[in-house]
Amino acid sequence: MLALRFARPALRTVTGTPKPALRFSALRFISTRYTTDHEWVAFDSASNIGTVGITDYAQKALGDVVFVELPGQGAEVAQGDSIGAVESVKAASDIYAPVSGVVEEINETLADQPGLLNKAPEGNGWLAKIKLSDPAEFEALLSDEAYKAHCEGQ
Amino acid sequence: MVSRSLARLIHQTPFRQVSLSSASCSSPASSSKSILPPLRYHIFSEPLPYLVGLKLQNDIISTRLKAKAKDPVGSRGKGDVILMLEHTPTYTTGRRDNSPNPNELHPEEKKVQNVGAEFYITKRGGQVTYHGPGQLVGYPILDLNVMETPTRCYVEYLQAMLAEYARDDLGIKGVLAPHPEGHVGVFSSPTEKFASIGIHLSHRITSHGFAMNITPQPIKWFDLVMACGLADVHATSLHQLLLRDKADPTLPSVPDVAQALIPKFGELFSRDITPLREEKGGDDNEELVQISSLVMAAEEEAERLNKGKGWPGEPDLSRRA
Repeated sequence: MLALRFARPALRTVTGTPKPALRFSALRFISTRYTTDHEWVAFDSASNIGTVGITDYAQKALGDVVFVELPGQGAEVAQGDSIGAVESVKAASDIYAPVSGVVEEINETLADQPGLLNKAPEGNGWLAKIKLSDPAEFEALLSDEAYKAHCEGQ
Repeated sequence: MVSRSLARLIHQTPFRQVSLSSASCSSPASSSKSILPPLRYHIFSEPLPYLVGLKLQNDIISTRLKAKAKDPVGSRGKGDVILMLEHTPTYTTGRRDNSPNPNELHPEEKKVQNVGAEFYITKRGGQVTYHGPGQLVGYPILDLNVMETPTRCYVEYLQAMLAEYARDDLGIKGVLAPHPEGHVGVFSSPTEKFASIGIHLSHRITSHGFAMNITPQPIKWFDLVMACGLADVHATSLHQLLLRDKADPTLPSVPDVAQALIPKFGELFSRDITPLREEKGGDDNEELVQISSLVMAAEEEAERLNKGKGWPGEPDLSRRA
């Protein structure tokens, strides 16, 4: 399980040239966890920021996404709060804050291209970046295996 | 049995929907499907002011979420309930319309100020619509997780069921669901629509639902707005279509249609369906008892609010802005 969570950072840490000042904080982990509401969070331990999105499983169940409602930048959110919605054909599904914190950034591209949620739900179709106020909340979310088991057991 | 009844509904659809689904909804996984408790239903005898209906749905959902948190397995599908009703005259729109300028009056709202109806922006999907006497509104509060039903399929099933009723039970000709261009709803021609769908999901429990025009009474109200964001589509009703297609048709009342649709819900989801009123106490039945009392309280509230107060039979155009 540890191996799995460590496997991802290698892909992400290459972004940006490491500056000498970062030498001593070179250990940077980005790991991904999931919620039973079919959302994912990729947590960057260096910046304390979690990128949030919906899973491919969720995307498939929704159908074509036509509109995404997101919280405002700077909004303070608590774990479990409804922070917006994803609207597919005539059905608006609430989305929830998987962790508590402050909304640092929202994916502005989704306003013009809501279909990104169908094309790349776990990539360019991310919803928001949240600065975590309690990183322990992240650790308590579902691992990759636990999430898969949740989807199969449903 | 599930797949057979669904397959029958879906396969009668004359046009295959493109935008609704890339994968088919016609064969839900039945292997892992456990037996679910009966669906409950209630047909309101009193027209509901819109906010009474909205609050009732929200209250039922919180009751269900609490019961689910307490007993995730035991509460499975127990609180699944279908509400059938008429509203007093109200325009509503979906949450999409709230986003650009939450502080400005919605452009469609401007058109219908002072005509005798309320206007609300809701959390459902879809755009502007009208609810009022002569129209059947159905609010199924269903846990789609427990029913193992993808959201897009739920929309497709509702649409197929309403179309089947109009086509097979009433014998209306030329029913289109889905629309050849993929618009959701039930149409009697590419430019005439008689039933609309708009859903909200909280933790995959559904609210809002469908609205079907039974008598021509809602049509004048619909004509004041651009319903569902479709400029070239106008509203029609089952009565108008029956009179168009038959020499001496029997015209069903709103409660008649509600009664006729109830067994279809049972068939669609392969579940028994029983009236909510029969709820008895007992610890294992607490959730249903609570839902039942919420429903009865809403009915009484509607009665109280409607007392001595009529509503206009048609829009008042003399005071339009």
